[in-house]
Amino acid sequence: MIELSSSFIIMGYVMVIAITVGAIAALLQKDLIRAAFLSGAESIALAFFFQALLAPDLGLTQAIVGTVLLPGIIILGIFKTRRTEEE
Amino acid sequence: MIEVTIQLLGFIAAALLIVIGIAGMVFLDNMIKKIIAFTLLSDGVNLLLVAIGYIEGGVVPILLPGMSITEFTMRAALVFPIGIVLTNIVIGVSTTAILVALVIMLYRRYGTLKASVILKGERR
Repeated sequence: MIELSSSFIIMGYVMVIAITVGAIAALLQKDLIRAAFLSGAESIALAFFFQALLAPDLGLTQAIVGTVLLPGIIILGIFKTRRTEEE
Repeated sequence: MIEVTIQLLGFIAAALLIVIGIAGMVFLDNMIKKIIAFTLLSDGVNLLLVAIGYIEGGVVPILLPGMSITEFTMRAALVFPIGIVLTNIVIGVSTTAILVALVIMLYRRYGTLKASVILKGERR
């Protein structure tokens, strides 16, 4: 049987990889809406990390704010300006 | 050989997020990309503060029935960084909203999102 702490460490490795890949992939996109959604994916991985670091209230807040509210605001700004990155 | 804990992984992830955020804010040219990099930097700082407050073998700072006060104060994770970060998450949303509004005004005046063109100051 796997202990609780060791399962948290395995989840921590996965979350470090997910945060790094999500952040770099969000900054390399040409389509800005796709970049906003990828930053939301990075944020949900960060919410799992908060849960593992003994702060479950921060996990709930980050899961709602970082996944729905922040990409929503950025996508509203993209609709008011332009969608693709110009050369 | 350093023993790998969840706190060490938190520090590594926070360092990566801060480096990626600063590099994105400095080197990228698109203003929306700069805003996204700013949110990444803010997430990194939040994760650093929460990882400082972690205690190995601790419990969530909620006083459950059947737990004595002395055991709770010995084992609970630090409450102060959690309060600070909870404030910082909510403030970060309003800061991002103001940044997006400023970028919309810049786009209406200059007709582009490139920072290098906006810095030349040629109006549309």
